[in-house]
Amino acid sequence: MNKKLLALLVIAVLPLMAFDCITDFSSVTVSLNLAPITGTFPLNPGSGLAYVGITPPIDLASLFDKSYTLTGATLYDITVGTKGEDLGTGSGTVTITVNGTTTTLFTYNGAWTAFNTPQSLITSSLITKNQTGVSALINAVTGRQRVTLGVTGAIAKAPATKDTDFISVSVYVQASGHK
Amino acid sequence: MKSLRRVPRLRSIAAAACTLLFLAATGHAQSDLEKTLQQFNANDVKGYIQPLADLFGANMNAGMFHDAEVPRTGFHFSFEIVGMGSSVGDNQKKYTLNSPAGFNPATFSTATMFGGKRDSVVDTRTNLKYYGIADGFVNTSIFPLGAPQITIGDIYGTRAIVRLVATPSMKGFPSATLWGLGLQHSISQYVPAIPVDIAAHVFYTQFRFGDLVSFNGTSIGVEASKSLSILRVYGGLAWEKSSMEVKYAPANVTSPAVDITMNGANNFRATIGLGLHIVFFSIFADANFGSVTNFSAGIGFGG
Repeated sequence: MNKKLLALLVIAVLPLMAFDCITDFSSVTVSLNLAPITGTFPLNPGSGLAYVGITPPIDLASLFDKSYTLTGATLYDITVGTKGEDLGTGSGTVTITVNGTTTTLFTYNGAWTAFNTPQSLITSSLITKNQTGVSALINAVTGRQRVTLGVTGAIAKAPATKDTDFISVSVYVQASGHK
Repeated sequence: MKSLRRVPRLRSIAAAACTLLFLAATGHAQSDLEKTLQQFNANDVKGYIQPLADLFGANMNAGMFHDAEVPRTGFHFSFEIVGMGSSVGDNQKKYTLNSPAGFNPATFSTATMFGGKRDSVVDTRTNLKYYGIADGFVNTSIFPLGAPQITIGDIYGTRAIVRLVATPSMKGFPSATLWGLGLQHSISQYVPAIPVDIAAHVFYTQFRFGDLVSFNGTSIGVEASKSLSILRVYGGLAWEKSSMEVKYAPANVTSPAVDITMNGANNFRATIGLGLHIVFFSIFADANFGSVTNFSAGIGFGG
C-alpha cells in the first residue's frame, strides 16, 4: 500500500520535478538597475560667479541587492538639471572621488534655462562624459566602494537669494551580476 | 454504477494523497526567481515572464476531461494523475524591451525567461550600452505541469472534478500550490438519440507560486466521446481565460511597487484525444490546439 502511494505521488510531481531544464541560478546573469547616483548642489550669494559643491559619501553597495556578485557595470545615462532664477550661461565640471582620487566624470555648459528641463547625456550636446571618470565610477560600483560627487563651475549672473538656485545631477548605472 | 466498497484502496489512496500533497508545501523563504524578479520594474519584467503566463495558463486548462459519458445517476470515483506540457515556441524565447529614454534604437530584442543569454542595445550617438534584464533560465521545448485529480459523481448527470497539488521550493523556484474545481454535466441525457456522449464543463484553477506570482484559469466548453470496447475517442472545444498576477516591491526603492496582471495567450482550444479503459484502470492522451499548442496525458484508477 505505501509503495503504491509513493509511486502515485512520484508520478504526480514528476512533471514539476522535470526541472533539469532549469539553469542553475548562479550562472544566470541578471541586470541590476541601480538607484541613480545623485547630487544636488546649491548656488548661493556671496561666492561671486564661481560655485563649488560636494555630496556626502555615497555607499554604492547600498544601491543594489547585496546578495549578488557583480561581474560588471555600464553607464547608461547622465542628467543635469537646474532650478531657480535664470543665472545666464554657465558651465561646470562634475568629478568623482574614490579613495581620495578625484577624476572628472563629465562636463556641461549652456544656458541656465536650457537645463530647467533636465538634459540627458543621450540626447543633449550640452553634456560631455569623460571616459576616465566613467571607468573610475564603474570600478567603484563593482568594487562596492564609497564615492563622492563634486562640482566646480561658473555662471554669468550671481544668485540673488539663498537656497533658491540648484544644480542637480543624476548618474544612471546598470550593473551585471549573479547569485 | 461502481461501488466504492468494491475498490476500498482507492478511497484510502485518494485521501492520503491529498493530505500528503498538502503537506509537501514548504515555507515561504524567497526563491532565487523571486529575488531576480524584484530587480526589475513593471515595464521591464512584463515581457520577460509573459511566456510563463501563456504556457502555464495553457497547462492549467488542460487534461481535465477525457470522457463525456456521465450517467444521470450512480456512483463514480476515479483518481487520476495528469501531466500537461505546453510547447515553447521561438516567439516565447525573445521579447522586445524598451531602451532607456532617448536611446536610438528605441527598442531591442532580448531573452525571456525561456531564452538564452540576454542581449544589449548600444545607442548610436553616444555608444552607451544597456542590457536586457536577465539571461533566460528555462531551457526546454516543452513546459510541464503535473497534477493529481479526483472525479466524483454522478448526480443529475453531473460530476465534480477536483485538482490539488503542492510542491516544495526547488532549484531556485518557490514552493507552489495548485487547486482546481469543476463540474461536468451530461448533455446526452437530454438528447439520447445522439450516437456519441456529449457533456459540458466549467472548471476553475488557481495556482500560487511563492509569494509574488499567482495564476487563475477558467475553462468553459463541451466535449464528446465515443467508447469502442476498451478504446475511447474524445474531443472538445473550450473557451478559456488565464491570467498571471505578479506583485512585489522592486529592490530599487526608487521604482514603484509592481502589481501587474498578464493574460495568457490561449482563449480557445480544440482537443482531440484517445483513451484506454480496462476495468478500474485507464490511460489517456490528447493534443490541444490554440494559440499555445499543448499536450496532456495521464493514468486513472477507478471508474
